[in-house]
Amino acid sequence: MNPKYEPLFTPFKIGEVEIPNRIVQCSMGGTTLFGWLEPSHFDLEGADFLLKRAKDGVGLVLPGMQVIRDTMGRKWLDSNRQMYRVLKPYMDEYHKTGSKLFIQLAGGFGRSMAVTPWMAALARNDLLNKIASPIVDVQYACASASATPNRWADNLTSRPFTVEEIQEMVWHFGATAKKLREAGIDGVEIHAVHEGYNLDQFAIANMNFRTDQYGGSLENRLRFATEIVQEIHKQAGDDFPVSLRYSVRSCTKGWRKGAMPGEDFVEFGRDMAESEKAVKILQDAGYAFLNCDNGTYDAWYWAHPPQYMPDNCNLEDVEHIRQFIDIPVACAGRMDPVKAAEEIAAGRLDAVAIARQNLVDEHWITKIKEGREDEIRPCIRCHNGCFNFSKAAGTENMQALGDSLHLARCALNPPTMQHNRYKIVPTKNPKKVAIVGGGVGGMESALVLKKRGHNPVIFEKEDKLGGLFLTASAMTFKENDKQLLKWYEDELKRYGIEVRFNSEIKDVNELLKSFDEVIVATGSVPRNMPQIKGFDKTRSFRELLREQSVKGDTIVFLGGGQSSCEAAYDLVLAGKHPIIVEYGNDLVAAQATCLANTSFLRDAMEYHKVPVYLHSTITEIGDGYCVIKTPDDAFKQECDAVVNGVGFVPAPLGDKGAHIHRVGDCVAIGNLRTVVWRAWDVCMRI
Amino acid sequence: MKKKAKKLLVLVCLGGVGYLFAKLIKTDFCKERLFKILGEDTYLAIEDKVYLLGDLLMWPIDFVRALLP
Repeated sequence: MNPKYEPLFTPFKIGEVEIPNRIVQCSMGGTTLFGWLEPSHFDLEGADFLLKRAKDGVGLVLPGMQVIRDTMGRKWLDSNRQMYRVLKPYMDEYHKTGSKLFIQLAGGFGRSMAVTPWMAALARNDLLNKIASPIVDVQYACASASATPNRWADNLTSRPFTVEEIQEMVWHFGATAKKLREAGIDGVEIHAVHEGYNLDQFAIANMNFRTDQYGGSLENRLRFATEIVQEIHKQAGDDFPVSLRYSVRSCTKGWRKGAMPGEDFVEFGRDMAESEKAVKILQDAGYAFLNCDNGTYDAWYWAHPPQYMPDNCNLEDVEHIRQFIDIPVACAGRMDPVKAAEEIAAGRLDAVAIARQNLVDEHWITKIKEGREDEIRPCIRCHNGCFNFSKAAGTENMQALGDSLHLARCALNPPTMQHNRYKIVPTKNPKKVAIVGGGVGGMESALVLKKRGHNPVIFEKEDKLGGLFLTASAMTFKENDKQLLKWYEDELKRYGIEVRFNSEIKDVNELLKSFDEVIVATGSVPRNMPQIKGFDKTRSFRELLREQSVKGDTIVFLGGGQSSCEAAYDLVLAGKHPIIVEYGNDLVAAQATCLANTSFLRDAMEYHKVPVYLHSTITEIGDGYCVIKTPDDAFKQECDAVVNGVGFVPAPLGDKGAHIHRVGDCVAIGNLRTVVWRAWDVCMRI
Repeated sequence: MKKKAKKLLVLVCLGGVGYLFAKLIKTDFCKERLFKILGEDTYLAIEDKVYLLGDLLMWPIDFVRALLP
């Protein structure tokens, strides 16, 4: 092992429980032991995933959040006796790894509940909600400290919890912790005075207007959280360690408004001065560990940082708050393990909390221990598979039902949390397979086929691998994307997969003369809109980002999708002046792109004062200008170039056939998840 | 009474055959065959729906199981 990682592999204590190393697997929605949205039960898929993580060497595993009362079915978590009976032998097996496991318990989402259209309809109608309440009580699921607006749905206000409801919940936290301890669980983590979940909504003055013992002073606003830890100690024992998921600062400017890194703003949520007092109150109440980051659902990119956020984005605040307490503190949020090791060695931090890297590479800790860190598949923070709650102006949560049921799957690693569906089964009939296109779809196909025992050969028309992803990863902040491309190149070499560069295939049927099967992974081409006068003068993303042949300061983007916004942000960082023209009512209004990612881009455009014209289009493009048509006006805009951001269309090669398969964007335009999963779907059946 | 027993037997047999059929369909061999017969797009679309249906069916099953002593 490289010595720079050594500080990560030293033990530390939470209360009386010794954690074997400093690596904490942060809780991720979906990686639960007792199910996610469904009625609580012992979840075999989650259990399998968590045990694998322990075997890889995580010191403390925090499974996905468990709401203390099931959203579906409304049973209390302590009521399913059979679940705890099954848990006991599982924990015996788990403890053989040496790892420790704390269950994360939550009071619920409150106004942050990611309601879908049907949930919003129920919540807005008292009668419908009453009828549905034995199965799902959306008004209860959205209940908060006070009547506050829902983060997702317009015209939906949370109802305040009654004092009796709060105290009932507090008792069940204690009862659940007692049963968990009896089943062999090492501790619990309370979720959370963190990220704007309902305990945080009690804690934040601008979200809590109560006049009873749970509102007003800071002590009162933290009373719910402090009563929970006290009840747990009362029922489960004083020596049962209780961790708290904690946001040091809310980094929130107002309802649905986040603050950018480095922005000078007035804090709407919890600021540092209040946080310094809050952590002392929470420590005194009995919490034994703080698992920290920043943010709320209104500033989601702090708690779930996309690639646009800086590495270690919460570290400075977390290290500051650690000075005010004596209990150990972990920091989460794009943490670089090398930086974390340095901080731990210097005594400024106790543990590093890492989440989504655990989904993308199930052996990343082993690889560090064996000095093979260059073989680690990087997380690109896309959230496409693990956390794709999406929203645009006027919509509720647009996430597909299948994704709501299965969080914490991985765009780049399909077997994660679906190991029975996606698996490498060695073939009994090895075949020669030609793959046309060396983009991500082609490379992933080659790897799956090779692992199964086939003999794939990639035909790439250019002199390098990557395809369209070379353009997508060209932006300055896309370091993780570039690492991923490097990982693919290295992995192909490690598996000895033949790549024929500068080999453009014109006829796939020709390939069938020397190969048993052909996979077409030829990607997509930019969409044309010839009805726009001068459209042929538009420049492509490839020219702008990869070839950097688009010169000038003022660049207009026709279309406000993710590609345009990312490219515009890149230009802003370079000191240039982009303009975005979008036909729809919001930027990046795409299902399946996480709100943490899209809200960053929207907030960034506003913060950097990028002119954005919604409900608008371009009617003419000329030399040095374009004509922008808004709902009220049409005007000539001087510019150096117009970039075609209206999307892409599939560009498959040849016809389909019994031995000709298609993978990637040449099937339908998607994202890395659709490309990678389709590669597996097809290559598992060849 | 005899009629009822017969009906029950038929139901049990049908259930058994259904169970075995589902087991057979889930084998890698069958999946490969179906993939070829139906074509990749149709097969993958059906498979996706089947998984979603399976998830939804698990809700009431989990709910009832939680009530068992």
